[in-house]
Amino acid sequence: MSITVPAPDPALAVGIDCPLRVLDLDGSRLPSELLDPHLTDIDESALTNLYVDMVRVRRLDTEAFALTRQGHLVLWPPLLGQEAAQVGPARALRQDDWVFASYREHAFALLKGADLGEFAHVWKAYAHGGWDPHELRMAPAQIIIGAQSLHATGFAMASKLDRSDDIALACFGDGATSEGDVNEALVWASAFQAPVVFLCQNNQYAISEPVRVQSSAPLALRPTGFGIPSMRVDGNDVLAMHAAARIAFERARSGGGPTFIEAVTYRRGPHTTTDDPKRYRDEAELEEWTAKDPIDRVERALERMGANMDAVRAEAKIRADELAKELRAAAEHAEAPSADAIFEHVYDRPTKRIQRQQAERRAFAASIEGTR
Amino acid sequence: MKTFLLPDLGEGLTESEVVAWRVAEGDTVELNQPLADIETAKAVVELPSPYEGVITKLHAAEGETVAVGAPLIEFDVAGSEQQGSGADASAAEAPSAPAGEPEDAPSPEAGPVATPDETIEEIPAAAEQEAKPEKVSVLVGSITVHGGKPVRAKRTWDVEPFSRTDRPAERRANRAMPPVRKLAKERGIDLQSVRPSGADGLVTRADLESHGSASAAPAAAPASTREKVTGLRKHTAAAMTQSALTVPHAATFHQVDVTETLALARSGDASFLALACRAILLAAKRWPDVTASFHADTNELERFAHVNLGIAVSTDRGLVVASVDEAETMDAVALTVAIKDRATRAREGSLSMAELTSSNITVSNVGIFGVDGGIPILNPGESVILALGAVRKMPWAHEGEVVLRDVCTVTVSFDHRVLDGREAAGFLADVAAVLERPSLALAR
Amino acid sequence: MTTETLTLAKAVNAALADSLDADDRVLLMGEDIGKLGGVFRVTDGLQARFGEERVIDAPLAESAIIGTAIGMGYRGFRVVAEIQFDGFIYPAFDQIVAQVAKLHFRSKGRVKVPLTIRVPFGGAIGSVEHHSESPEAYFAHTAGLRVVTASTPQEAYSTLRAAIASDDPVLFFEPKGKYYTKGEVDRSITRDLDTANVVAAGRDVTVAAYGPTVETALRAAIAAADEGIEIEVIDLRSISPLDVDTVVESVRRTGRLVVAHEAPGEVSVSSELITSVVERAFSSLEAAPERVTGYDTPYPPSAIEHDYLPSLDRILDAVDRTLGRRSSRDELDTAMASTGAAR
Repeated sequence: MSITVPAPDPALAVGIDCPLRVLDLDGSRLPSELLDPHLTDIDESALTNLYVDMVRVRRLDTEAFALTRQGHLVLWPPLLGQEAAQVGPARALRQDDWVFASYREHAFALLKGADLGEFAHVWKAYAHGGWDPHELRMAPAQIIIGAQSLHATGFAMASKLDRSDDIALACFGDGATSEGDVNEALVWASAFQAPVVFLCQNNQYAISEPVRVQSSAPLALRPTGFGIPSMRVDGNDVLAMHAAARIAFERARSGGGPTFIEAVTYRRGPHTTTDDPKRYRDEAELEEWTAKDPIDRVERALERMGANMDAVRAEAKIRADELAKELRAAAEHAEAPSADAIFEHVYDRPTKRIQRQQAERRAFAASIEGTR
Repeated sequence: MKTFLLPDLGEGLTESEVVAWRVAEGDTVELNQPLADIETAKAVVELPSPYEGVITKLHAAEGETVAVGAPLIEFDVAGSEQQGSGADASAAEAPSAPAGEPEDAPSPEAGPVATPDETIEEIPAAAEQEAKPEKVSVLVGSITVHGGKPVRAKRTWDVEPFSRTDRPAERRANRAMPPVRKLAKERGIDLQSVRPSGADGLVTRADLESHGSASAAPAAAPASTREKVTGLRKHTAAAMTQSALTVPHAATFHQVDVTETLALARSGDASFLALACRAILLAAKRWPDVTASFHADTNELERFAHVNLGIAVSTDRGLVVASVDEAETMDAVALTVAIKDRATRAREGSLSMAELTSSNITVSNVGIFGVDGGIPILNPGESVILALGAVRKMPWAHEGEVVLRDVCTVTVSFDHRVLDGREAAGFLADVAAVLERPSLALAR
Repeated sequence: MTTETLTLAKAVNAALADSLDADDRVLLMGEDIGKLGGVFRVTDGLQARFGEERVIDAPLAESAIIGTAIGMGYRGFRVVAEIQFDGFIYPAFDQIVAQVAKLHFRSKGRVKVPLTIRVPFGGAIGSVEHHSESPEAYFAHTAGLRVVTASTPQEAYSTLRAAIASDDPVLFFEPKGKYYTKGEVDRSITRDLDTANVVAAGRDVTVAAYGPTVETALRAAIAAADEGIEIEVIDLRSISPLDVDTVVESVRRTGRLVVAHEAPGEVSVSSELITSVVERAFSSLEAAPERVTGYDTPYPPSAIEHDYLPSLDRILDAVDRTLGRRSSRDELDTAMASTGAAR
């Protein structure tokens, strides 16, 4: 006996079979009825800015990778290949919108103005948090997969209660969509029509697991089951990502509720600096995606627009070099925390027990010759 | 000029092989430009250039092995001075290296510690002493594998040599809870010499107490023993001493025919002692100074509105004087009850402070011990103490004939500063008179 | 009887392979355990050897890994589930505590849960947040669960085999900081899930530890021998149930106890062990028991983790206190005694 099981409502989802794209690989513009109205202000200057952003983000990422190899950082999860997926939405945010992201959203941290000195502390294992969340309007980077999606949803609920038009952006990967937290977040976002946007960067891998382990159907179909409109977008197309984000943010801001964006992209680097992707994927796949490089595409688009590419590239390089130098200096000269940091900020005010243990540790350290 | 030392790539190797050079001497290189492919435990990794400048020297050929920390490449970097840089090899290692474990440790002898499981190497041979900890990279960090003999870090004080004070085997026989052990130590008692009453050789506090009195072996009975005087007995001793030494005592006594009073006691609800107290109370009315108190320090005589009659009670712990306050308001039956109550509670030890200190005249029924009397010592603060002797059948002149009558000696000991002989004798005579003819009490 | 030299990670691999081989109802489930062979390579080669239906790469959902394992158990599968890191176990806490622990009891013994949950735990690997936790006390507090650890490759091999063979649900905590320590493994040696192991004999002090701290305790014992102090080291092995008998027997001889573990001390294994020993052997104690543990704070950034974790020197400092020798806490203790301040 066969039963026809209705598919999730396709009307709520766009780009399922063909991820939305407005910039082709050769840099030419593709028309999109849905996205074009949200790109009318993107001229050569605006595109150049996006280009420079992506070049800087890539440089931050590759510099951090090298610094790890050189022993200045202990660990780095690279975002190589995902620059457009992050820069596009990042540049559509308003300053008071909050981002709730994972450990790989370095572009958001950079573009929201994180201080590289403090940022470097995290990857030197000197501190757990890399910025002041209230200053940046960005929650501390989340290592527990998917947990941030609930926080984003709660923030959005609170914003709605405050009658504010601030929105929340939750960023996570393809693997996270399997976690209970993410699915619960979708339930709540829908039930409360919370002004939250879920940005899922499907970079095809959760460490070694290809996305098909998480789902046999496109990830963008899932939220439709929760009644949440969804867009499947070419994650390597910064303009498509920017426009899709604008649509989603606008919808949330105007009381239209949540949106899910699946950015189809690729994690060209390893999961972290000591992962060995050769064990679970082959070179051909990597090459295929390298050919879809998000930055190359924008260069070609700018060329088509008649931009002076030498000048543009030079400007981008100067800005990127500055950034890399700043990061390198921060990584090389960061001050290690003292052991007292163990006991600070556990509670609003330290308990007697903690104070006592801090004293015991100090006394112990003082008993060893040559210890600070 | 900058010298680049082969960094610790964290792959657990103390040396690495240069698989291939990507640059040559004389090349100008950019920051992070791949310089070489280096072989690690897992794979071949790219080594990014730490500087921008010109390669002036490559210290190893392809296929050659270089020690971690050894010079690998010389750079000519614009505006730099001669420096070495190990790319923070130590910084990379520092987070994982455990504190207080020096790399080079002297070779020890095998200690008394047995390690039945091969959890770590046995005390290694001298050649392995120098083994440094190895670091193996993992996905999110690195694992340090310990090497070398563990040595304790030096302390900031002079360490006293360890001496094993008591052998564990000796602890096995008798045990005791920590408070009992402390007590034994304070008393200088060797726990092992005490007879344990608890299970499994447990010595209790009671065991220590009885150990004190029973002493060691029963061999020869000691010529004398000493026992500390404590508590009530100690207090009484002090009080008696003080009283005897500071108060001029005098005494007067009289033999009294108490046949009628005794008969009254036997036929009614009042006790003999209570009836005697009634006699005392009546006499005290006529001689009120018997309850006064002389204060030598202020040279004052204190007189009281009421008679607080002190009853001497003999208890296990010693002599106690319990007061029946305002006794003059009580009849003989009430006194009987009160006396019994005080006696009971005196023996229980549940008298109040007031009851122990408020008496202003005391009666001591020494007759219950079978003696005629004595010269009692005044209860401190009081001026009179009256002792009642045993009641005995004695031949007596009664209504012109010699008959056996119940006779008791009554002794009054008094503070000669308060009463003179006439008053004391007068008081005693009045007490005696009532005891001889109880019906007189009605008339008085 | 042959012995081979294996790292602890390889010993676990061998135990899994031998278990998969011996019983075709055994199956493995976890994130990245298949092609990658696990983030620590513990399951290296197993999927290639036993196939995708016996070594299953799980979607990223810890609660579901455990929940579906329970369901598989109803059909007689003996699942060995892997939680990738200690800090990731919490989404599965409900399934473990509310379901796994209680099913046997709830069904009057008719439903068994022969599930083994492997969890790399502990710190000292220079990692980022949530990768260095010691959550064993949460589970030791839950009746119906067995909680065991291993300190050496041999212990890892034999204890894991026993855990998989057991019809009780077992949480098997593997010290990730010791994955690359090598040791001799004899596959014919069997171990139970209940008893502690005296790994070094000594007359003066008993030091009880488990997992990664056993090596630290042994190193402390070796260093102490330089001063003539003999430390008896006990590897507790089983955290629930705790083998109090073995520790009490030792303390009756030495009179002194120090318990060491990475987990924070407040409401921990050391709380339970010390209380049990005091209840049974109070009169044998020459000094108050001591514990050397992680502080009662979240795990710190790993740059300072060695100031947080029990070390050789901190253990010996505590040993000195039990021996009545000068220790780092003397002045603090005196100050506290005079003010009567509470801990």
